[in-house]
Amino acid sequence: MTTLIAWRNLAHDRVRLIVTLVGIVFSVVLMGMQAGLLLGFSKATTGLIDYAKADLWMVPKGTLDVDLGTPLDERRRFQALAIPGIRRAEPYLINFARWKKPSGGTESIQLVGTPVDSELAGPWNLEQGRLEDLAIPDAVIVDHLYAKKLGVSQVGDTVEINQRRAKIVGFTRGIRTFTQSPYVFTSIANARTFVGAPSTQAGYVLLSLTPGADPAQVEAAIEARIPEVEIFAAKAFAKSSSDYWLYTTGAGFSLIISAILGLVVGIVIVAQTLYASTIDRLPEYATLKAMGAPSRYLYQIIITQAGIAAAIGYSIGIVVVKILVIGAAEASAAPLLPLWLAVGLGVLTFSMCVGAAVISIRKVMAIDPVGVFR
Amino acid sequence: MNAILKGADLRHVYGTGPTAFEALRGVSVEVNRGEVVLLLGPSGSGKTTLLQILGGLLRPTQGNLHLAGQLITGLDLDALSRLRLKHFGFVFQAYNLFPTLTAAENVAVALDLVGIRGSAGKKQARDLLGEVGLSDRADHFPAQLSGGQRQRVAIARALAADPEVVLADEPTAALDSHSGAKVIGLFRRLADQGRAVVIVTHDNRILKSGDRIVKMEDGLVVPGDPHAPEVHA
Repeated sequence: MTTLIAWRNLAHDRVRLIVTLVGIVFSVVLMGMQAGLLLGFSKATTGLIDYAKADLWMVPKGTLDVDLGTPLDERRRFQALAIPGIRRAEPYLINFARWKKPSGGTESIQLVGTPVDSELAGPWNLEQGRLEDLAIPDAVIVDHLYAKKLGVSQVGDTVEINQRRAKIVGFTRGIRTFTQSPYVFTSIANARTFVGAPSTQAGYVLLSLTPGADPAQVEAAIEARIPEVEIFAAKAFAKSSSDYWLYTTGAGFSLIISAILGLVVGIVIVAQTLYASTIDRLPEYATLKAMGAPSRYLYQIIITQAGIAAAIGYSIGIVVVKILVIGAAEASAAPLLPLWLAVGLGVLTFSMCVGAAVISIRKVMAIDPVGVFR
Repeated sequence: MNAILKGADLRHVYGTGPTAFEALRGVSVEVNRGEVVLLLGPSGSGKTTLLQILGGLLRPTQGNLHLAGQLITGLDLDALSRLRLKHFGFVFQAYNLFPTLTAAENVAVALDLVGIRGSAGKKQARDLLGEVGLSDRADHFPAQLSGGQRQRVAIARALAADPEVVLADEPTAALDSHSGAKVIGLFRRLADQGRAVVIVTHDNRILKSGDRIVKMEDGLVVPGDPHAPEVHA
């Protein structure tokens, strides 16, 4: 019966119901999109690490982010290979470069160089071309998302990287960058040529361990033997990279603050409309109290009202978020909506609405049933 | 003993200090099963305060109230709430129906409170509406009913828990004479079924329907023949 009363209370005043739902939908969409963008950006900052198969990353001391590598002598790779527990060590070069489009104009790119026979890194989600083609001098692979930005459309297109000719040999799909300088994959030899680096220069050394090796022990052994470098477990390096971009640049804070604003707006609107609805019904609530209804019966009505509003608002809001996420799939900044986020938003929406009901509950608590006979 | 309600030396003071107002100044009253008691008196005479105390809505500042022999003046608010649910039915001048619920649903709310739910609740709600002559209005909302019909819905709701005592505050004040007569007829029938009915009223039309009139003035019961249905306010 409380559900029926709650629903009728809500549905009776359509304008107020619409205002409530708009508030909740707005809140869900704002929270969902901001959190989705945060996840999307976070994924973009760590894609190179997440898709590499390295157990450990050897980086120059002081490195916080994978995109901002500094030169590392490849001799460190050979030193690392001498340490027990290391199965494979590969050089990895990442460097900003200038890309000249065939039609004119330039763009900033990030060259990513890996060995042609790499087992630990390289482009993923390859849609066109073959990895082996990266062995061709000047061969590069770009992502479809940035093809237009880079002024290329098909395999065989030629461009200039740092005033050297480069040829498109393949396209990947969905490899995003946070820095807006697209990743351009090539062999490490080509990369060195494009950036004018000596043949012994790398940015990182990717390490894989022999089965059963203890990563902490190997890490300690490397750092003891090669003090010029730091060793990150892949997950730790991903977190460091993500934290660097999201928090030191303020991008993450602005997304989180927007999401919190969405929550606050939702609470205020739901609390206000629910309170107004409760005030309208005070004589009825007082009557129920006079009749002997326990307080929890009245709270149940108000909380159910909030719950129904949350359920409808969330359902509409999450559909809107899903549509926006699908619509932005081809954009350079793609929000994500994993299941856990959708469920989390649901829990947050219900908590928000029930929390907003507290003011109304306090009002009902203060009702004196004596008033019905005045 | 036939008395269902027995109040002795009931006193009630609103407020404290110099602004305190003594609304009841020592009222002793009995309400018996099967009788309609009319509470009369000018505004401020204390009759509504007495009705609130008799219904367990207000605890007297002093004095004792027994319901079916059990002292209830010392009970806490939760216990009083349970007591009202089980023993009392209330009817209000402004009906106090949920405007968003149909007549049957308004009655079903009261049944829900005493644990009668689902199809049993729906059937009983319609039966109760049938008892007050509103079978054909069960699915109407209060706004679609006349004042008299709304008051009869309120009476059906008051009967949901099969109470021993029905307390009504000016139940005919907003009704025309025809509707008022129907409502009073219903109260008469409730008393004939063995319930005690206490009505606060200013409505001279219903004085003849009471078994007993309790006249109040300045927080006191005005002496008179308690068993004579006097026809003067």
